[in-house]
Amino acid sequence: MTNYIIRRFIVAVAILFASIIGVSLLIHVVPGDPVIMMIAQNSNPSPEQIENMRKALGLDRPVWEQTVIYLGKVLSGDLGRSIFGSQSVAMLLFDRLPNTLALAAAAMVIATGIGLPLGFFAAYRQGTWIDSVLMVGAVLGVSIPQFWLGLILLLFFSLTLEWLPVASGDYRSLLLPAVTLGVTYSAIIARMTRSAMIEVFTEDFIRTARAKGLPEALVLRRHALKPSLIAVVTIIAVVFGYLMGGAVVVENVFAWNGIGRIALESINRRDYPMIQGFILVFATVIVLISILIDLAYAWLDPRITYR
Amino acid sequence: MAATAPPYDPTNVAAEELPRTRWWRRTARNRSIWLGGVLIAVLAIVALLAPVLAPYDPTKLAAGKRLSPPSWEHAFGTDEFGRDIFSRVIHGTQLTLYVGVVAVGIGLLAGAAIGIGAGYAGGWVQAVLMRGVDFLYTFPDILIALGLVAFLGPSLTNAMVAVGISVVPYYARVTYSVVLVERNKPYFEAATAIGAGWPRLVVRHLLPNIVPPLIVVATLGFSAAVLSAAALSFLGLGAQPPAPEWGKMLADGRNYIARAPWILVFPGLAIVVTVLGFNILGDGIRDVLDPRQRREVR
Repeated sequence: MTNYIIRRFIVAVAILFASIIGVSLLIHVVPGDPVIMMIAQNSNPSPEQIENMRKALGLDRPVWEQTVIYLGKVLSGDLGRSIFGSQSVAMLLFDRLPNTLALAAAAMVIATGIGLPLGFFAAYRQGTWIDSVLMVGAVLGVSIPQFWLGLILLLFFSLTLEWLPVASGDYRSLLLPAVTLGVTYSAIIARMTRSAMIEVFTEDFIRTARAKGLPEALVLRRHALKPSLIAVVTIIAVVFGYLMGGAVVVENVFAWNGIGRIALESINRRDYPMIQGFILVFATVIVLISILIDLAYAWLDPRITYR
Repeated sequence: MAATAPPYDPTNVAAEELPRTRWWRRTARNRSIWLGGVLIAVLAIVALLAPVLAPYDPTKLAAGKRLSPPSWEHAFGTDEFGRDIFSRVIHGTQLTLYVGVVAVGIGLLAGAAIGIGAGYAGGWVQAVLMRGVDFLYTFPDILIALGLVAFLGPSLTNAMVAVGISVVPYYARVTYSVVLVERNKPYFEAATAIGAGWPRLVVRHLLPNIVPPLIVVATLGFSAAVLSAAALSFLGLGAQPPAPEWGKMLADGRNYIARAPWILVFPGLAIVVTVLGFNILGDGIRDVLDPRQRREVR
C-alpha cells in the first residue's frame, strides 16, 4: 500500500515535470517570432527593445537551456512575469485560482447530485421505460454545448426573469455557471454510473445475496454499495478533468473571475508567460486531484493488492 | 462475382459468414443507427446543397433589417448586421462537418499510427509512444486544444488542428489495446512463422480488427470534436468573422440576446442536432459491435 502510494506519487511528479518541459517548448510552435508577436501589438518597437525583450524572456539562448532555466524557475515557484504591467504570473493566477476551484466544486456537487441517483436508478430499472427515458435525457444532456446552455440560462434567469444578477461576484453569480457545468456533466455521470452499476448488478455475489433470500434493501446496502462507491470514485476522477476544461469556457460566458477568464485575456493579448502559467496551474490541479482519487480508490477497493 | 470467389479457407467459415450476416441484421434492426444515420445524412445533404438551399448570401449585410424577428422572409430572423440567420446556419453546416472531419481525421490517422507502431514494435518505441499518449490523456482535450491554439494563434485551421491533436490519445489507446490482444493470438504467430512481413501483418491481420472499435470511437469522437471546435470559435479562437460558424455566431450575438433571442436559439439548436446525431449513431454502432454491451442490453 505505501509502496503503491510512493509509486503513484513518482508518476505524478514525472507528469508535472513533463508538463513543465512541454509548456516551455510550446512557445516554439508560435508561427513567426514570438517576441515580435508579443511586443509589436501596441507599439512600434525599436530593434533594441525587441532584443531586450528577447533577453528578458531568455529566448536568445539555446532551446535546451531555456527549458532547464524554465524548469528551475518553476520549481522555485517563479512562473515569470506578465508582459503587460510585468506583474508576477504566479501571483495573478493564485489570486484567481480559488474562484475557479469554487466553481468546479459547486458544479461537481450539482453534477453528482443529479447524475449519480439517476444513473443508479436507470441501472436498477434496466430495460424499463424509465431507463429509456433517463438515457434519452442523458444523450441530450451530453449533446448540449455548455456555452449555449449558459447563454440560455443567462437570458432566462438574469435578463428576462431578473431573478439573478448578470455579474456581481458573490455566491449568487456562482449559481448559474455552476448549474450550467453541473447539468451537462450530470448527463455524463448518469451514463457512466448506469453502465458501472449494470456491471455490479450482474455480479455473482449480488445474485447469491438475492438467492439466499436477503431483503432487497439489504442486498443494495451491504453488497452493492461498496463496489458502486469504487465505480463512483473513478467516475468523479474522470469528470473532474473534463470539468476543469469546461470551466474555462463557462467562466467566459458568465464573466466569472477565475483562471479561465484570465486565460482567455492572456491568449488574446499574446501574453505568453501568462498562458504558460495558466496551463501549468491547470495541469497541477488535475494531477493533484488524480492522486487524491487514486488514494481513495486504493482505500476502497479490497480486490486489488498494491505491491 | 463467382469468378473472384476466394479460395476455400476453413478458418473463415465460422469467423466470417455467419456472424457477418447476423451483424448486418442487427445493424438494420438497431433504432439508434437509423435515427442517428438519418440525422447525419440530412446534415450532409444540407451541407452539400447549402448554396442552393440558402435563400440569401450568408455574409451579406443589410443595414435596414437589423435584428428582425423570424418571418416568412427570414425564417430564423436576422442578426445584428441584418444577415439572414437561416442562410448562415445552413452554410455553417459545411464548416461544422468540415471541422469535424479534419479533426477526427487527424486524431484517427495519428492515433492509429501511434497505436500500431507502439503495439507492433514493442520495446522502447512502445514505451516512448505510450508514455506520451498517457501523458496527453491526463488532461481534458479542450485544455490541450486551448493551449495549442493559444500559441498557434486564432484561426479555424489552427482550431481544427489543435482539436485533432487533442484527441489523438483516444484513438492511440484503442488501437494499441487491440494490437496487444491480436499480436498474442495463435493466428498472428502463425502468420509471422510462415514469413509474413510487417506490411501484410498490419494490413491483413491488424487493421480488420482495429477498424470496428475505431469506428465507434470516431463516431462518438466526432461529436466531441464538433463541441470543442464550436467552443473554441465561441471564445474567438477558431473561425473568424464573417464565417458563419455556429459557435462564433453565438458569441457575436450574445450582446443582443435579450432583444433578439432568435440569434441565440437557432445556431445553438444546430450544434445540438449535429452532436446528438453523432452521439446516437455512435451509441448504436457500439451496441452492435461490442458484444459485452450487447449482453447488457438484452
